[in-house]
Amino acid sequence: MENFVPASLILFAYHLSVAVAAIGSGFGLGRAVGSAMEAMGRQPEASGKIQLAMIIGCAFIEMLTIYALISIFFVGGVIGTGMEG
Amino acid sequence: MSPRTSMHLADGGAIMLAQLGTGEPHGEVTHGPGLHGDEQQFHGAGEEQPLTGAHAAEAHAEAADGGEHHPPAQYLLPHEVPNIATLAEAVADPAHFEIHGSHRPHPAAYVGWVPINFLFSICLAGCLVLFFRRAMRPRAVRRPGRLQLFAEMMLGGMRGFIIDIMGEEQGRRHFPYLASLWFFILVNNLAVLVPGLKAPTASLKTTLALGLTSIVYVRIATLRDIGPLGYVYHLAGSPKDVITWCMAPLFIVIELIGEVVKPVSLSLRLFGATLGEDKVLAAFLGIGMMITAALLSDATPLVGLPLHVIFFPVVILLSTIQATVFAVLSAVYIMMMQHHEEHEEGHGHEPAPATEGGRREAAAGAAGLAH
Repeated sequence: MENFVPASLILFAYHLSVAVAAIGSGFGLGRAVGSAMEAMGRQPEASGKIQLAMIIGCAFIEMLTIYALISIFFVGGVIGTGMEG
Repeated sequence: MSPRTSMHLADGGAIMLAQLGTGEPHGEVTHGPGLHGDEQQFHGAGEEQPLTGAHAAEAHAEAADGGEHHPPAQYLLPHEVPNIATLAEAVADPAHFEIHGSHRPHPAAYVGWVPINFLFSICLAGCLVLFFRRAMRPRAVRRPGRLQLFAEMMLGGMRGFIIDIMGEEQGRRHFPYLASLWFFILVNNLAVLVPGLKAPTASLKTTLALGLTSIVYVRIATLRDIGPLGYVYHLAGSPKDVITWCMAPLFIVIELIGEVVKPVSLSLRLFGATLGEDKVLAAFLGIGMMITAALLSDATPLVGLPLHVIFFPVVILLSTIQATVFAVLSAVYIMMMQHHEEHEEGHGHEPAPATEGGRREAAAGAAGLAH
């Protein structure tokens, strides 16, 4: 069986998937960091605790993009070599 | 510019650059040594590269005769930042490297039988140990040297940070492990910036080892603090009345899945972030090579524009953040298992006081994000 999808389209889809994941976690990070900054401005004495929670939350949001990236690396082989297929 | 070269470049996605290069004369440009030294591995390093354009033309003629293997189209797009390991591989077996080296989907894990990530991390850890031994050797109280001040400043800052998160007692107890973890991961992440070194954390093996070590440490700390029965009680969701006791089996299953996922997520996060950084650096290194290739109309130029240098500040920032996240998450996993005894008493008041209980609540709230 030959593959039905052109290789260039697959290559495009690889990159697009990371872009979509990045958009999502960009919004998430924006909300999280924005709220944390607001809270810190309102209550500067609690900034240590807020910062800790923010860093951990950011790690979990950012993880989603990293998962997308990893799956690209593993599933799609490598950026560039997809051209051969 | 030979049609062969332009075809290669077009394959590599640099049609415009190839057109740009057509106006260039093909003779006078003399190649200097590689800007980075390690970029020479693109040529297989074992074979002698011609130094002038005229010689390059001869080499092309030879290649056309079939005397020399011509590099494939994507030769200029490396998949990892060149380092000592790729160089050694290229020297040992140039032909094999040309076929598999630059087309390998993942960074190399072995050269021959030598596990290079392990080698690099051991060397980096050794450097770290030597540095701190050297810095702290005078143990001067009155007039410490620059090196000692620097080391003490870093350790002191780390200690304050960890004590802020975990509280005085727990922070002091777990500071040695968490600080070692932080320094080790930071040094491993930053190794990619040094020409010739690679970041061992860009390999899943290294990060999985780190994650497993961390979770084993966390579990030992938990068992020491609340004992095996307390641990099982926590896994069951700390049941208080009949309904929560009925829910306990469900909680145990969920928590056990969580226990498995924790080290995996820790290691995947570090691995993905570091590998992503390395790929970006490698891609921009490749773009630099393609630009020089087009300008010099030579398929394998000795010199590449060091475009990846613009990403160094980003890499430093992200590496620090990733090391911090790893250490902080380990600390939070320790804290998560401890708040349950005091949780009930600190439940009522809204503004959490800046005491042990308040810190634990903050850590627990942060850990709640994890699930």
